[in-house]
Amino acid sequence: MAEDFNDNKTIQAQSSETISGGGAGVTPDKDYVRPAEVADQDLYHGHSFITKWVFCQDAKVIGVQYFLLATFTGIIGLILSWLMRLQLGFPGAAGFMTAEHYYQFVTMHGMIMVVYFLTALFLGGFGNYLIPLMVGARDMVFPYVNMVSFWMFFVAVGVLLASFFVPGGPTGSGWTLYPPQAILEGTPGSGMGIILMCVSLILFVAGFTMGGLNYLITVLQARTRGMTLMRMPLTVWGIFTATVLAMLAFPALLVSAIMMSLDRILGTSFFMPTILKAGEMLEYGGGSPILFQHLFWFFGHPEVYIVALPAFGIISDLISVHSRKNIFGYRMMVWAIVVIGALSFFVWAHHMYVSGMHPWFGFFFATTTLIIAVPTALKVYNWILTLWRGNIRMNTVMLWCLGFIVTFVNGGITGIFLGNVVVDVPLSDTYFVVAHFHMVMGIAPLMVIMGAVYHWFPLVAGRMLSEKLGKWHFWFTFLGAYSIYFPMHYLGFIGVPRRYFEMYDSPYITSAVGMNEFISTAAFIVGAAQFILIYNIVVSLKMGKPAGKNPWQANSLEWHTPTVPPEHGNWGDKLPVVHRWAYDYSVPGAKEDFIPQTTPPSEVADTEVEKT
Amino acid sequence: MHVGFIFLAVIVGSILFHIFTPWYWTDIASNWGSMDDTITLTFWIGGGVFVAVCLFMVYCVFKFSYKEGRKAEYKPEDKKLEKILTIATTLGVAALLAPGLIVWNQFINVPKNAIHVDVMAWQWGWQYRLPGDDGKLGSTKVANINDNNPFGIILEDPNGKDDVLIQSDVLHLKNNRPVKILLRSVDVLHNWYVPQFRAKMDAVPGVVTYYWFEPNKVGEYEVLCAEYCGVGHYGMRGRVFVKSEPDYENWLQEQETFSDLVAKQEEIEFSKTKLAKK
Amino acid sequence: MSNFIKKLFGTLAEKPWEKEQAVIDTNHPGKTFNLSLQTSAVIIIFGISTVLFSLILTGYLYTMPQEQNTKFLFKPNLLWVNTIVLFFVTYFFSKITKDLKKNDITKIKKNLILVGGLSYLFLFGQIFFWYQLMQDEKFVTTNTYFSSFYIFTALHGLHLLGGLFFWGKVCSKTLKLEQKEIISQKKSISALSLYWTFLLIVWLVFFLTIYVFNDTVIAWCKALLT
Ligand code: HEM
Ligand SMILES: [Cu+2]
Ligand SMILES: [Cu+2]
Repeated sequence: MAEDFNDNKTIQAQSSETISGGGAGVTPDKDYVRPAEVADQDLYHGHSFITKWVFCQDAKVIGVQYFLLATFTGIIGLILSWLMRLQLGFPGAAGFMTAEHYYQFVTMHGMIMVVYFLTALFLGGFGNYLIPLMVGARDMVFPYVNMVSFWMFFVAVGVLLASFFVPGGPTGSGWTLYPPQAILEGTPGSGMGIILMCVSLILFVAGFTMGGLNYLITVLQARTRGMTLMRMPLTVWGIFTATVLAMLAFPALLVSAIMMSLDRILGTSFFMPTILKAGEMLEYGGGSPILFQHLFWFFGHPEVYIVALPAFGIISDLISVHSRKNIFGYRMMVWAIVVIGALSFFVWAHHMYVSGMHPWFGFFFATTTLIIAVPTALKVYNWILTLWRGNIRMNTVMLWCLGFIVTFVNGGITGIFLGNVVVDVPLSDTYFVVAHFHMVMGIAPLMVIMGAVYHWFPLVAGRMLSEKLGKWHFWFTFLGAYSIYFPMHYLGFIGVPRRYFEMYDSPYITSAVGMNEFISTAAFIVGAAQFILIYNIVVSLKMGKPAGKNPWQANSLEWHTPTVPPEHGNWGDKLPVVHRWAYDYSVPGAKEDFIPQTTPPSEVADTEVEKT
Repeated sequence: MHVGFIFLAVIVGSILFHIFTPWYWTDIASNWGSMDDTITLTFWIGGGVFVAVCLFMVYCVFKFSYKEGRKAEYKPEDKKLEKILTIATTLGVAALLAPGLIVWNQFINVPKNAIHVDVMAWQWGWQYRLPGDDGKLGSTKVANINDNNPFGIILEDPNGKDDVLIQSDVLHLKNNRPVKILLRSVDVLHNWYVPQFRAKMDAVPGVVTYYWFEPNKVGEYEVLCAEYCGVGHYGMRGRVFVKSEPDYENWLQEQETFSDLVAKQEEIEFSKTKLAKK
Repeated sequence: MSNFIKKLFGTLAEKPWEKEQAVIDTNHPGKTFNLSLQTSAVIIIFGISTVLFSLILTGYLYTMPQEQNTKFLFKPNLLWVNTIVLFFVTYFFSKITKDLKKNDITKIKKNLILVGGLSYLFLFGQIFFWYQLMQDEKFVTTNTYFSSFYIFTALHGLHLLGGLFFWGKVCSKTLKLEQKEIISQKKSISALSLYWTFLLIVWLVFFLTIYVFNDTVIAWCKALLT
């Protein structure tokens, strides 16, 4: 199949000659780089406002577009969560809130947060901005397709939001969209709402596939000279692996969305068994609701890692830069990302322990799920071991990193509860689950996003964000979010089921009223605190301290473009050449505590690296 | 400095919350104490790891905060340490998984003497069916359901004749006797869940699912629907009474069987035709 | 393949911070595989559609109804003709790539048009087969067997249409070129050729499945066993 391009043997031969200082045709120079073999990319340069900022083919602009649109939907998701918490903490306080509305809000909130906010932000936003810069490319390999990808996402969001305004409103079937309930009366939005949801998802998947194609091929085929796979920053590894997962998992979502739309529109019965409703037999029969669940979670579980892996990658880089220390166990980190990615396709049914699937699956999926905990735990160890004997800058970025570690470990541990099949039996479908997944895939990735924003804003805007506001923003968000979700686990122990419009009025549960009021109040504060960030960004764009070049003294390529912020084409007239991995911080013998990836060995001749 | 203290406070606060929380399990009323035990075990191991990792982090924050001129250690990896951590984690995970799987094995293997209970769910309510003297439930079909045959029992099946029909959401169970809950639904997914019994399982239209438990505390319990099933989900409640054997038998005697129901209906039919003849 | 695995895992074992490794790494040209961008894209798309189509097949096997009414498969039918047409497409495509390799460009334009025409013929044949099925009262709602049949063939057709879109682009570019310049389209054309090979594979797997897993064959197997 794939022939090796850089035939390993010749290179090795060449380089050993280089070391021994002989050999015809090879310069005996430490800084030797092979001449460029890949033709430089021709880029389309927009001239009008429209081609420069709207239908733009520059991955950096597309990244920012993805970021802004995803944030916008995220704010809608946030407002919906406020409304839900208002109902749960203070029932009846929002007069218009009926059960129908509540379920519609739960559904839209869940779907928006997972797909249209986190996935779009990590892959579309950070992926587009950072991949070409970090691997030393001028742009994504198919810039036009990349642009179409964003506009498909735009339309998908439009269709999603349009469902708020159709008769019957948006679907209220829960973000899992389980049939038969999703397409039958008795669930809000079972008419137009669910159809629009399916259409929107299909558009999202189609658009995303176009983007993903770009991320994969750019990482594999368009790196600059000297940038081997193992020299890439972990951010790129995370986004790359997540994209592979997305490409393999999204087809499952596509298939289930198509089949469900057909069940709803044409009356096929992919997921519909014989059904008796209000005393009447419906014209369905022969399908299986559990099949939908398998398809959905075959997408849904990898989806968790589609969000988590980029977060893992980014946080590794942030911790390393701000501890002035290489990431501990780089190879282990890469392996863990790859292994987690591969395993994530074999654990999906841990969401279905009590779904009525064959009980023997329980043994298999509990085992695979707990196995995946091992590489995940190793990553956590390596993060904290990177802090160990580092020189930790206690700035806002680092605060978010620390917050991430606490919330992620907390959510990871409760994941072990839920993965261990029999422990899941009493806890599944209760608030324990809600607390768990918010901690691990809501708050933890949010911490990463925030850290990443404070870290890369100077690159994008050329100005620093205010540290003071940043710290207030962090403490409100971290302490607030922790006090929302930590106590919530205990509601689950009591046995309060999730997706309940009204908390439960049984005698032994009324004691939870106080807790619910507390949680809701915290939720309002956390939500409001996010506006500190928006204020910070708006003000800093104009009045922030100028960042200058490489304000964090980082090594990776994105900080070493000829102009800051980088321009279209990224690298001026000459592509960079990479001489080292991205983590040469505090190298013994070096003058500075960092050595950028572009620095050739001759410039740092005194460094001494012990063998491991 | 204060950063480290705040994080420390968060960890200590979490531990204290766990110790002093007034919100915890409802008192268990079934044999599934072993589920609680596995949770407790997971709490010890998992909680231990959480606290250890966080304390290590806080220590690093105190000890290695930025100092001008200090240089961080340069250490790309440490194979030995990584090996130890991998093995320790694997052992910890195995220690959690093994008991979990053992209990799961108990959970899916129903004792022979369990009483079968047919729990039928719809939007939004429950009804129940118990076997008659033959100890067997008759087979059913959704298409058979109508006013005269609310459970859709297949008339040709002799096992169904003496089935006890309970057309209300209140179920009675015999104390200290295993029950096998057989779940089915006629429309969408539901889930018959009593927090005190710990166990739960979805009712799925088109198939029959099951789980079992042994109630061991006389009393009244509330049934919740634990799988989202439409707007009425949160209101889909039921009740269970666990009774001592004599009380239970008394209650059972009073219930109508399927043949009673058929006879009653035939009587009505008969009188109707008589009326018509007149 | 083994080479590929060695390369992948060999790569993951590298220690990029060591000086010896750094010398080797700096020599790296930056490309992982010796594939054109177009071909890489086709391979990735194939990966995605493999997952897509296997999921539909799995779904079909999962909910396979007892009664499918599939006797029609065992009479002469249009599906066979369509399969042969698809074979021809792939055959002509492989001829084009061979010619391109040999720098023999005399027949390329002709064959390129032929390939597109045959693909449209295939699509037309599929739609006509649908028409026949519906005449025969076998609709998408009849049972899950036919639901899966229709959705699979529909998605396969869409997949082909997607390919035809790019075929149209490449074809119109190529036709405008002088004979000598055709070589410049080599990368795009060989990527297209690969795409069609994949389409054929997907179709053959589907074809096999509907013939193996259907009530008539299952009944026949049961008869053999008892
Ligand atoms: C402060 C921020 C947030 C608050 C206050 C909040 C609150 C809530 C509430 C009240 C529910 C409904 C629980 C129920 O009735 O069962 C919910 C569900 C959910 N949330 Fe959040 N949430 C927040 C952020 C997020 C984020 C960042 C994510 C991203 C992963 C997320 C994902 C979900 C999902 C997937 C559901 C489940 C929806 C369903 O049951 O169908 N949430 N959230
Ligand atoms: Cu999962
Ligand atoms: Cu329900």
